[in-house]
Amino acid sequence: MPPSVGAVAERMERLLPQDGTPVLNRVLQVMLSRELESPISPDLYFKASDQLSKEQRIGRLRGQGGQVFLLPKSAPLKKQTNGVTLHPRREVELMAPLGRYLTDTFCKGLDLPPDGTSIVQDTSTIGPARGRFARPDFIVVTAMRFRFLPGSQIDVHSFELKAEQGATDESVYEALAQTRFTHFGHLVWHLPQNSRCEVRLPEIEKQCDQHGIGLIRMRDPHDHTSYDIRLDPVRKATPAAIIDGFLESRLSDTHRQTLLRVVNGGRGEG
Amino acid sequence: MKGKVIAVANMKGGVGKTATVVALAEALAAADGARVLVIDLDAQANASILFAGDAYLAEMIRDGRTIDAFLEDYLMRGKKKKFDSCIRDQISEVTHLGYPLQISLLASSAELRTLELRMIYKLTKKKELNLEEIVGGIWGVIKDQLSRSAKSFDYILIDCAPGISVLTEASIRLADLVIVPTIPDTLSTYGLQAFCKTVWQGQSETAKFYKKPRGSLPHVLITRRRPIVEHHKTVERMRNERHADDPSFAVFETEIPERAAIADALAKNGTYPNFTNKWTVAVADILQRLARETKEALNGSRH
Repeated sequence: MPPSVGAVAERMERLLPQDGTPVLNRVLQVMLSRELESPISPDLYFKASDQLSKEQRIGRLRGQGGQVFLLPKSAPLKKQTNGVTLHPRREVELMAPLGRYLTDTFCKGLDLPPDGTSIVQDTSTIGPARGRFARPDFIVVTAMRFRFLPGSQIDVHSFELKAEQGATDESVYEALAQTRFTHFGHLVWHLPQNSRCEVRLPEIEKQCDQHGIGLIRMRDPHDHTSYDIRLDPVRKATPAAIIDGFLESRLSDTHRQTLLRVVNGGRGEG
Repeated sequence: MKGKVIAVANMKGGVGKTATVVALAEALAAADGARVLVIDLDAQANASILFAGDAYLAEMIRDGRTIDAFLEDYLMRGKKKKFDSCIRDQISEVTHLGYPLQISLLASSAELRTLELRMIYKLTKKKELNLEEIVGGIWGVIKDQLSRSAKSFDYILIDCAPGISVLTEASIRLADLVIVPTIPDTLSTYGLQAFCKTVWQGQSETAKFYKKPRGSLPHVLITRRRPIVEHHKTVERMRNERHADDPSFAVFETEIPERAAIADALAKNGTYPNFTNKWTVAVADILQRLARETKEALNGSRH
């Protein structure tokens, strides 16, 4: 006799890693079959998964047939602290604060000359619909000219943003894949202080280091002093023609004009 | 008895018996969703470790869910335990087309070696049985338990220990098909014919205790084949056996080549791969051919 939905849900919760590491649905289904010594049909599996998700005990991620992860028990989805409602932030909620950080703090830290410029653009929804890892969440483009040397230099940074539970090895590969269009790849991870996901930080940092990807830890999205640049990215030798095509397809008209002005010897806005 | 019984045996160790059991069990289960039971009769418990992993195997040994615990209780302590209670279902971590393979395991542990010796000592000394009677007794118990099992399997694969022990002899008597994995070199094939003849045809005095094996001749499976002259000549010689007046064995058309992918696949514990990813496309194709040929041999449509 197949196990009940409740029994599967209870075992599912016990099998998921306590640190919130996501597990593929396919793998969890096998783990459950082995543990319960009974075949677990997809129907039974998803009923149990739906039940846990409804009770806000697990979260879900997309990709490779879907993944699930354990939500922290100590931090339920909604709680009141000093009258402010806190909840694990979704990527979409982190986009605006990251945009402000890149414009106000990150670009200033690049120390561009007065006639240089920096452009921040949200590219999360721009790009080929079927392209894999072809849409960084943000790009930062800097342009500057030199006093003695001819021509201008353009640097393109791509930023992949991940919410607290969402950063995995694959996020690093995603940021790496985006550097096929850019010079520098960064992973930005919203990882609050004392988060249970902190156990994953050393591994993610190691992966970023191995692949030359920058890592920015965002503790509090609204406090720019809490952003910690843990690793600087390594410049990739991406062909100029590819970068040119990428900027052509991603930059807005206004940004394109600004960039052209600096490249052609005019004054930027940064 | 429910399900076809396949014993995988050879006098010599290190020829790929356990690898054959693991690969064939997964190939049969992947081919058409068949339910496969693997019985590990080797005290080295390698098949048990490969299927169950350390943690589950330790749990099964602790709970007395092993073949040695069963035989100890049944034959030495007179407890009428059931086979079913020792079988662990859904043990494979491999999936095929999104579903876990339906493989069950009756594990063994290192205790099996001492149990066999104690069993022989007790039954020969106290009950004055001879070896053939002991083999017949074990054969009867396993056969009886398999036929009474409430679980139904399409295939039952037995991983025998190297050499000819009472457990190996009993398994061979139970089998519908005996597969003899053999590396095609001089040392591995030395005594192959004698092994097949002795085990298959049995000694004349054993005939009164248990019947001769069912099904067709033992089937040699060429393993770890390399493109070298020695292997080529040995394979040719083995394949010529079919022209003998009284052949001792048949040879599978499918050969298992020497591949790093096979060793890698066996080391993929705890990674939850799918069948093709585990074995690689090239090896998975060979295993599917082997599964097909095995089914033909069992159905008598081969040789």
